[in-house]
Amino acid sequence: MSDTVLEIRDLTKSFASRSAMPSRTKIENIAVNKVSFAVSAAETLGIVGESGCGKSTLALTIMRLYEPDAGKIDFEGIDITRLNGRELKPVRRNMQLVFQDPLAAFDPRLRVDQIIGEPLEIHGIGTLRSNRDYAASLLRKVGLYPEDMHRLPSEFSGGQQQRIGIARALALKPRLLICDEPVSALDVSVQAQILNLLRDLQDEFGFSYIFISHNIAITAFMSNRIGVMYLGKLVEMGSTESITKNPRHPYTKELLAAIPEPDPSIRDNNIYSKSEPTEFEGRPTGCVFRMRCPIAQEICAAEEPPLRTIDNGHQTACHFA
Amino acid sequence: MSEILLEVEDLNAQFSLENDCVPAVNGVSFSIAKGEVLGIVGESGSGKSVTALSLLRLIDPPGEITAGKAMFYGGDEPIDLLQVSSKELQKIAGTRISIIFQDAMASLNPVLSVGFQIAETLRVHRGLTRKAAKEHTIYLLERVGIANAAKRSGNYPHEFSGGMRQRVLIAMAIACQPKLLIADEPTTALDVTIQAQILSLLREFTRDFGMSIILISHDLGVIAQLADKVAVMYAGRIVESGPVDLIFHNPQHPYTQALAASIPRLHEYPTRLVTIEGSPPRAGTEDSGRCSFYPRCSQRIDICAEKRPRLTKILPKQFASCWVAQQGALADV
Repeated sequence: MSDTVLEIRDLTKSFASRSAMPSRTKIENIAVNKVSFAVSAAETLGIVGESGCGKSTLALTIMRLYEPDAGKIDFEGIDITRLNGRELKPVRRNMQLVFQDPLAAFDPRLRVDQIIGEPLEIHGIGTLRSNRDYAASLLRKVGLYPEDMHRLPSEFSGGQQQRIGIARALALKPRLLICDEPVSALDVSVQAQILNLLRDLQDEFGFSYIFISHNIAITAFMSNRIGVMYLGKLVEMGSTESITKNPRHPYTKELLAAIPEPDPSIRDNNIYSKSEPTEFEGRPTGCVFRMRCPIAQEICAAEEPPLRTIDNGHQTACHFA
Repeated sequence: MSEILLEVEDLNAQFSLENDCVPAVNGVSFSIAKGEVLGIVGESGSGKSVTALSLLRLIDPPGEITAGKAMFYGGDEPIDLLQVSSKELQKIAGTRISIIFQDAMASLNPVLSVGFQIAETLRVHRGLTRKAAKEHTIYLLERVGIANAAKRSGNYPHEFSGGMRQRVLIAMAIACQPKLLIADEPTTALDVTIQAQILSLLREFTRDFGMSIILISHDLGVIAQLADKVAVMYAGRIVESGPVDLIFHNPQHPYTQALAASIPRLHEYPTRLVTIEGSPPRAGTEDSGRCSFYPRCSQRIDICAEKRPRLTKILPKQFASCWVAQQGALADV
């Protein structure tokens, strides 16, 4: 496939920690466990999962902000898994991040035009003056006024700050934008504005998104395909419609059932599991979801279910799907 | 059913800064019946938390309650929560009225076991002996779905997950079987599957003990799932109130309409979402005399800029503060 922007294969990232006193044995926590997928040009791939499932680690590992333990990252046909800092620089130009908390991602002393101009400066693009004009045009694109260019990020509302974050990410005209919970910190009435903006920008520039969120309804609005993560594993993946209408993995089913519908005539009284997200220390055996799974059998503890294709590109990792 | 438990009238609270006073809650009135769940929905700065905290006089200086009445009928005799002595209030808070917050870790003492903290409530408020309190603590932990309760009661807060901590907090809150539970964003920090568990737990308690809940949330889904009636707050005021079905299926304020239309829904695949222009006003921005939603409203008319609409009955049981709705001219969104 020539229009593949990103392809990762068996990407793995773990963090070492030590157990509590007195034994202090070393524990390896696998945050991202052999995750594989591809993202096409102009496509949005949504990644959903609960806290601690590894979705943010996945984003940072793809960006090479974390060093992957194993696996391969191909970006625009180039294997970037082992590139060094200098070799990565031109690659980074084409992949950008939008964070949940924009204010934490800005230098509080820089003005808006400096924030947006910084990536250009780092990559040695344009002159000071041309970059200022460019920043102004980007601000207009994200729905802000060029007159606001000389203000500090803290003077803006949360939604406006996120717009600045998006403008900065767009400055280098990336091919891939990874958005990690981009609207989670925003007021409900502002979320829709930002989501519409993200879609409009994609229509205009044709880049791809990896859209990470804990909110499935928001992810479904944004994405062509959705991948569901649990404890570092991609447990299910498919088109947005097939994941939301016809989920196959018991975890995806549970996740969908748990969403509180904003409609009082649909009240679910009892479809919920009593179980808590489990935490594995070290390498899990068998299926990662088996401790919580309502249909787990012996085979689930013995054998890890592979992510296999069921139909129409819908993949799931469950022995019984 | 309609036996009134709490009646709040014209509550006003403000934060007095050096040369400025910022109104946070402005003329808020509502009532809640026994066994009823009142959902207060609003965005940040809308005054929903200040409203809830004011009921137990928990807002600290420079915040102050400047006017209002909150008659509570769940005690031996009716009392005004805003007027009683602190000593009286302390007796009511914890026995008749409990409150839980978003951040359970901040509400628990990190150096005491959770069992001790729940038992403490029982010993102070219900005068139980150490042993009886301990037994009842284990019952309560079981009641909120904590497995291995006897053993777990000896654990410290950091040994619990976020969802379990919130359940510990609920166990503590219901220890004295309060008549009213104030829940301020109780599930906001939790994962959806855990949120669903906490919501069914709360629903169970209203059913089993006839407990009333004031549920504060920014999440329309949570409100739709639990509330019997809803008050929508915007810029320190209630802009719409009514039974939950009507608020969701036939909203009468343009803000409620747009808010409900702007959230993505799972099985609908629109290419654009309905948006509300601009952002919510910062707490205390006073729009002298006009409707606070005026700058963002897609249906505004001339009078909206001149005069603030009052909360008025639009339909039986449903109130909204909107000139357009009052004229029966509200469009669908």
